[in-house]
Amino acid sequence: MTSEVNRILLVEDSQRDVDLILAALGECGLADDALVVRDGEQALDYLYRRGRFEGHAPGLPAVVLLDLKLPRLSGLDVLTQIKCHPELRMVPVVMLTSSREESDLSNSYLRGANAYMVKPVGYAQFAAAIRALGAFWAKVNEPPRRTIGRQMSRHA
Amino acid sequence: VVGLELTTVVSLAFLSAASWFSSAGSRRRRSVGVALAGLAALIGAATLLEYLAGIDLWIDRGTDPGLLGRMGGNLALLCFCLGGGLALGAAASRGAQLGADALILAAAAIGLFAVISHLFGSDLQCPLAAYAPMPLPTALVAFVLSTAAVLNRPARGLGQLLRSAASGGVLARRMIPVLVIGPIATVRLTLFGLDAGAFDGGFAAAFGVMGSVALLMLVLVRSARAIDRLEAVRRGNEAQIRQMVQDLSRRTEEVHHTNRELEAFSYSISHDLRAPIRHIAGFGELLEAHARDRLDAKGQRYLAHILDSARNAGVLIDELLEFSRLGRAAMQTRDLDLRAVVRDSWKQLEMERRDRDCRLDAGELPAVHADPTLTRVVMTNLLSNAIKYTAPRERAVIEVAGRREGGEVIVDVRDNGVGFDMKYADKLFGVFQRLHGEEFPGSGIGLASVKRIIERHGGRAWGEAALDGGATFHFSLPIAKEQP
Repeated sequence: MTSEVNRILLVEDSQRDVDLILAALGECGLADDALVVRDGEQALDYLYRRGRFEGHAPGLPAVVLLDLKLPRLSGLDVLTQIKCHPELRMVPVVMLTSSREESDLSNSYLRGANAYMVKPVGYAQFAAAIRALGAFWAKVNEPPRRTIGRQMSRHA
Repeated sequence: VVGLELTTVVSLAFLSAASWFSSAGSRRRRSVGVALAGLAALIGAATLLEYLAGIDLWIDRGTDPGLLGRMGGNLALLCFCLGGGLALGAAASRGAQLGADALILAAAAIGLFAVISHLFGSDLQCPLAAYAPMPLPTALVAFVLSTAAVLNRPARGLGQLLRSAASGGVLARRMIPVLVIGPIATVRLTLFGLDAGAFDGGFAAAFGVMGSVALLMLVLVRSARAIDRLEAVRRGNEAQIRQMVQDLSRRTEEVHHTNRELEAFSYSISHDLRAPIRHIAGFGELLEAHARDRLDAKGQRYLAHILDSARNAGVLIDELLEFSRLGRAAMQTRDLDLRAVVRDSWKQLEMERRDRDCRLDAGELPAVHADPTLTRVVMTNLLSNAIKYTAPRERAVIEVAGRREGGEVIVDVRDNGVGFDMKYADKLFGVFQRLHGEEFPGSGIGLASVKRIIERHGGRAWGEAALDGGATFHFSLPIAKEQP
């Protein structure tokens, strides 16, 4: 069992949100499975294994939790890049955001987001939602395997 | 005394009846009219045949000597044209309609000629043997019948122009007296001069031409002036319309700009204001779990207040965003069964009325034409209010009923709850306006949403109540396009 690959990639610029999400993931024993990056550039660096993630263990996360409002490269930009990449597009991406705006919702789904979660105000509901999210995407759901992606890209 | 021929009497009687029936409402009467017109045309055609072929078809014979004789060829032609025109006019095809126009116009011309000929002496002779001067009454009847037939064709031809309410029709009606009386007067004067020996043939011709030229010039000048006037009005209107279009597009641009600003504002609240509230509530709850044992009663109360306020602020922001969204969301209206909307909304409110004796009486509810999602928001808000404000009642009764009124459906939602003071009725539908204290929870945005949605549909929302005597809320929505 290789433990180098983190099952959850959390892309979140706000330290407060990171603390809240990690606290919630901690409640279901998933805090150690999460790797936190603070902006879109770093998220792509991690997925492409470049920059400070060069030489990182190969493999894709089971899920990317992606904030919409990020400095420099926005959440939608990161989502677009992931979903346009022949292999990375397999990775499930869950948008995790404060906004319930119609435009955010439709833009996310149109660009191929796999789920969209509005962060609830109360911590209890927030924690419950994060637990459900972590339990489903990192435990219940069977993530794609890299080899399938290779075959698919050869066919494409 | 010139006796009336039997064929003349019968033909003119048939043509009169045919004219009368041609504009009748019932299909049967119209076909009787067509048949009579056809018969008159046949009599005319037969008489013409007698003249042209020199034969006797026995149609001109009778027992009463006063009614014997053959109608003149000109009247026979008129009968043929008018009868044929009226009969053809009943057919739908374009060719038949064109033919009817031509025949009826020809009949009118013959009729007019017969009347005019009386102004120059009724015994005008014509080298054609078939031509016979008509007696004045016959000429007048023939003229009136054929002119009426022209005017009776309002959908096309000269009749359409003469009856039109537009400028062309007005001009034509004004010119007709000049065009008819003018030439008659000119020629009459010329003849009068010739008879009196005041001038010779050449002078008479010059006088006649001059009179015609003067007449045509008069008509020309009047028409040209009318056209100029119309064009000036049109130019003025065009300039006005251009100005209005400019104003409108400027205002539309302003509205778009305001909408974009509103969207940006709402977007910013969604992202930037919601986050800190979430952090206060989130860390407050974590702190509560983390340090509950170390905080004394006072500290715990303070923390509870912080958490309460943060949660309230969160709810307010969410509802405000929802309210703003309701105002901007694209509407998709369709015919809608309100009874289903009431049923769904009532079901959705199950949690709010649990452990309560709460009865819903849904009366008659006509279908409306509205956006389903938004209408459901309206109904849910009103029913939720009714449930909330009947809480002190042992037995809550909520009635929903609707009725058609004009092009609208008016819906009443009545409860037997605590009501409100009508003094504050104007504040009911304002954003964040509340008429009750903390004993009834709420943010004061529900009725504002109701009003906004109803007004977006072009309807009205209002309420009435008595303090402690129940409340009734009304709203109107457009009636369904298709009635069951």
